[in-house]
Amino acid sequence: MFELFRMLGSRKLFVLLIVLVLFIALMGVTLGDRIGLTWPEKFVKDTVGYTQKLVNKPASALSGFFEDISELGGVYEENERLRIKVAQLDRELIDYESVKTKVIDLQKNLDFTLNQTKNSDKHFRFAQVISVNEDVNNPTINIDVGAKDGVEVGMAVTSIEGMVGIISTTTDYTSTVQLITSLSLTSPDSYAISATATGKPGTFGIVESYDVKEKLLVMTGIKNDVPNKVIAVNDTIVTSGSGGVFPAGIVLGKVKAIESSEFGLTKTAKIIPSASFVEWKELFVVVPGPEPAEGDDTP
Amino acid sequence: MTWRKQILALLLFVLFLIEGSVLPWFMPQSWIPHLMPNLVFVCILFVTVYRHRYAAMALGVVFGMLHDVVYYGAMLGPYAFTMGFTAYLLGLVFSLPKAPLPVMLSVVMLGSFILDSMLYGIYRVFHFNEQTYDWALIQYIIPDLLFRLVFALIVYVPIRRQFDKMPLRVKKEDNK
Repeated sequence: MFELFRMLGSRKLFVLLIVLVLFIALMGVTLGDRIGLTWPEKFVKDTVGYTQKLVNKPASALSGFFEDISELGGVYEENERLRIKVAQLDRELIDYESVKTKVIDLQKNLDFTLNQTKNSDKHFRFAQVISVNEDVNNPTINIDVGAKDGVEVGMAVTSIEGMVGIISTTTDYTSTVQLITSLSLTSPDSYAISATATGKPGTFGIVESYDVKEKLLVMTGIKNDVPNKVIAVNDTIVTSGSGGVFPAGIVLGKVKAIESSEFGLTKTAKIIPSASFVEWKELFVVVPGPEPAEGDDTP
Repeated sequence: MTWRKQILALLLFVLFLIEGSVLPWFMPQSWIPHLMPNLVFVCILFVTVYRHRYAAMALGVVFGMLHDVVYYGAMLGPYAFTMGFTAYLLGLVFSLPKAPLPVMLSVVMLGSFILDSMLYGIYRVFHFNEQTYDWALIQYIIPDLLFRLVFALIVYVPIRRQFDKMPLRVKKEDNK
């Protein structure tokens, strides 16, 4: 240690220590929930985001092309399967329409408050991934829609399979998504998702951490005491919409195991996330509220 | 030509774009959770060995800050600090304008190890991760090290050639 001191010289060591303190202060200040970004940050993010978009477009097209070629063999079978599925969907669509009108009628009769109707309503905004930060400790991705497209901090982001993350910062033309793999109980800017099991109204739990080692989401606070409101293995877990942060019905994953919690009062469920967190090309930002009318859509 | 330096900075920026926007689409999917291909950092290590540690430190802070701002998720500063500091530290020890390949490769290995360990430490201090250090070592620090080593092997010849063409400034003795 003393050799190191001599080598650095006392003046340089002094500068180094001051720099260390300044950086720790910077980290501390920018830690946690910040309201908005400063303009230099926005400027850098937008310019870099724009160039990343330029670079990313041919790259993702090319990798998609290679993927298409490698999947060429299975196309015939897939086509067959999809055709059957489409026919099935067409049939179910008729049922869906009739059920939907019935539900809307019933809801009107029940006098829901404005807030509650807003909660159950949501629409999806398509977004292209422009860059990925593969930092294990702080996984984020950037997408090409921003505040000008109506994206706000705190909105949920899903892939086709399920929930991927939450918008952590936005600039005018890009926004950064924090993945749900960074959910943690101790982390200073984490959040909790209220969740329920599909087809089992009344069940409730909170997803607020992710087990990095086992690659599972952890859902806590489940009260499995009412006999017909029990979350069981293989249930599909979706957001419940209570609490008003995320709209209802975003798929999180499937229950793998149920355990007793630390104090034995509630149950804890381990959930296999349905999103894969490795292959991103297109994502959807979940915007609460009803779908804007045709032509009302911002570009 | 005097434009070499500017072109080097521009190439670093292009590399920064590639590692975020191109590489993830071409890497095997099973690698993605284990790698953070900080390719810019490898090039900065070349600068610190073959040019000067101050230039490398400045580049490290600038590109680290760029990384922090563009991928702002948790906090600003960890990358700027660790990249600048590691480049400076290694430049202090290994400033050899005529360093052969094995020395350069060991610098890359050492630098990669120090960078990832410091990042782990910083995120640990601020409670962003709860894993143990040996888990982190197996999961991403060592895979990272190997990946960056391979990248350094690939770019060694072209980078070395460019640096040999660049005239070294007259070196002043470091004043204590």
